[in-house]
Amino acid sequence: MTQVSDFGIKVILLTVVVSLLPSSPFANFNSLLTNIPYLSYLNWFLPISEILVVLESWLVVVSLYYSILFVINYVGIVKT
Amino acid sequence: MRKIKTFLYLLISFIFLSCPIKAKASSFALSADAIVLLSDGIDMLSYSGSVPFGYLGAIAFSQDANKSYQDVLEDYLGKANIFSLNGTTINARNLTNAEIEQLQDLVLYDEDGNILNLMDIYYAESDNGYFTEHIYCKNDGSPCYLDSAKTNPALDVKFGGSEMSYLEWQNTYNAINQQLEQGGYNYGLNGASVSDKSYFVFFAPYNGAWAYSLFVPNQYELGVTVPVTSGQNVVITEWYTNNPSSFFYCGPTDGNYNMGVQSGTWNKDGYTYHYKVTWPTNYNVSRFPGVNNTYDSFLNGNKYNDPNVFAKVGYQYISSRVGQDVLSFRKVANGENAMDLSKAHSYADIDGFITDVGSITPIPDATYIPNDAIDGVNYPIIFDVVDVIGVNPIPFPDSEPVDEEEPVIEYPLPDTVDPSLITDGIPIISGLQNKFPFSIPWDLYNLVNGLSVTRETPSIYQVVHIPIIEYDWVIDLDLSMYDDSAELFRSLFLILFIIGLAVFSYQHFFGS
Repeated sequence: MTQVSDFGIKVILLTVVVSLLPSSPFANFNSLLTNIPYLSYLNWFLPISEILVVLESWLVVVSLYYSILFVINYVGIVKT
Repeated sequence: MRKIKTFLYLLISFIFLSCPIKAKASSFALSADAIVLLSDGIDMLSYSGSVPFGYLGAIAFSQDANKSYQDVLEDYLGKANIFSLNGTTINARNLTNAEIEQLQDLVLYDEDGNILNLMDIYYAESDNGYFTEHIYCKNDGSPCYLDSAKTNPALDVKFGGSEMSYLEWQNTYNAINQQLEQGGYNYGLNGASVSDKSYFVFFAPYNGAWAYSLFVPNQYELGVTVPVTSGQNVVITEWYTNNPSSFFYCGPTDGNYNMGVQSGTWNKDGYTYHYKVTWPTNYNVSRFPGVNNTYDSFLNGNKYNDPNVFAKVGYQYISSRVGQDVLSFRKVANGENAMDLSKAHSYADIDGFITDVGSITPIPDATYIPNDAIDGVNYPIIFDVVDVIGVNPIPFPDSEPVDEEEPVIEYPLPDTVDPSLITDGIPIISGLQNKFPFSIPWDLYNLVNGLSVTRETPSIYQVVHIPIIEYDWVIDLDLSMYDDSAELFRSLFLILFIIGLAVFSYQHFFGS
């Protein structure tokens, strides 16, 4: 019961701390970036959306790579 | 360990190669989708009164049966462009109102009789002192959208989030055509003044464009060609854009519709432009799902001059924004828009086209009839537009708005913690992505993602006047002829990027 209470208190404290944090100051820039003139023209020359898809996938698999390595090292299957 | 790393590298490379292919395939599922604005909807609305060129709605064509109306719309937004002569909008004022009202397609010719293949869409504008009339036409073979639908009746036609078969749509179209042919039609509101108000029914901004429906109280007298008396409500659905370089496409220009033709010239900015206007002598009007007796409604409704017949609106589907006088009419000089659109932009979004049913404030001097025909069916608000004509007016019931309680999500809580504190706190913790500095990864993602917009063929038409030598330098750049080459270039660039990423990855994992 004590552990549960501690957990609850931590949640409350964390909530308070998070609520004190400021909102993202960059959120408004996203819409500004979208409104850049001729951005659609740039997309005509460069496959930006496809590059983003590839990059996202790359990040996923690299994260997977390190995750597996971490697990392997952590459980001590292989000693480096 | 090196063997394991090599194995992992190969495994992940395989995943890496397969993931983008799938993702890319889903990113380019859009093919023959199209948006058709029902500018002809004006004809239907004209029975109960209308302002010029208020679009009744839009039909989205898609060969993807799983794609929603909103998906098609959002995919299509920004793909088409409006271009006009001299880099400004075409003023078609010297066309007669009747011509403009019937305008479905606008084809411009140069002095040699060649089609001015400026861009995809031509845009014309006219002003009657109260409203600016907008005409959006496409001249790139776009009728094929409807043609393809005709040859494939199974092609989905999605209207406002609902669906119907093309044949169903066409049958109603023909039926309403007959009705339209029985009488005249009329546009315009006589007597509107600067003190008159309109009301938002829904307002749905999207990328660079936004749509709205307006409710105009029955304070106006219609009449240019048809003496319609006031006493009717008007709902307008129009599409505007706050980005003049992007808009989307209007109605069909199918030659099978017995296109009428009008040609002539007009002068603008010292230039003489030869124009040719074609329009279907029949009007394509959509049927609206959920309203089974649309045709009968028109037969029995207030067609022209019965002041005792009031329009009805499916009030139960009108958002709470009805009753807020948010848009004023302004009497402006020719060429200006009579509606204060800048003010409209300042209003907040409503999620999508399907607005929640909220409490409404009865509008003075307006009478409503509950719409029993579609009661209980949550059709998008756009459908209410068609349901503007009714008979035997019934007073608006004095009903209190019902506030339905939202379901409360209960989180498992420890016994010793005040539940009220936790339920308030958990959503905040889950919103870390909006809190600085934890938001930085999401900010970066959104920032980079913002660079990916709908690609558009570079095309610039600009006339630069050099007053010293009285010379107009015409910059006419159109790279549409290189579309195929650009696609090849993009593919090659992508391949180079992937190879570069692979080399980088190898060096990163195994060293140089």
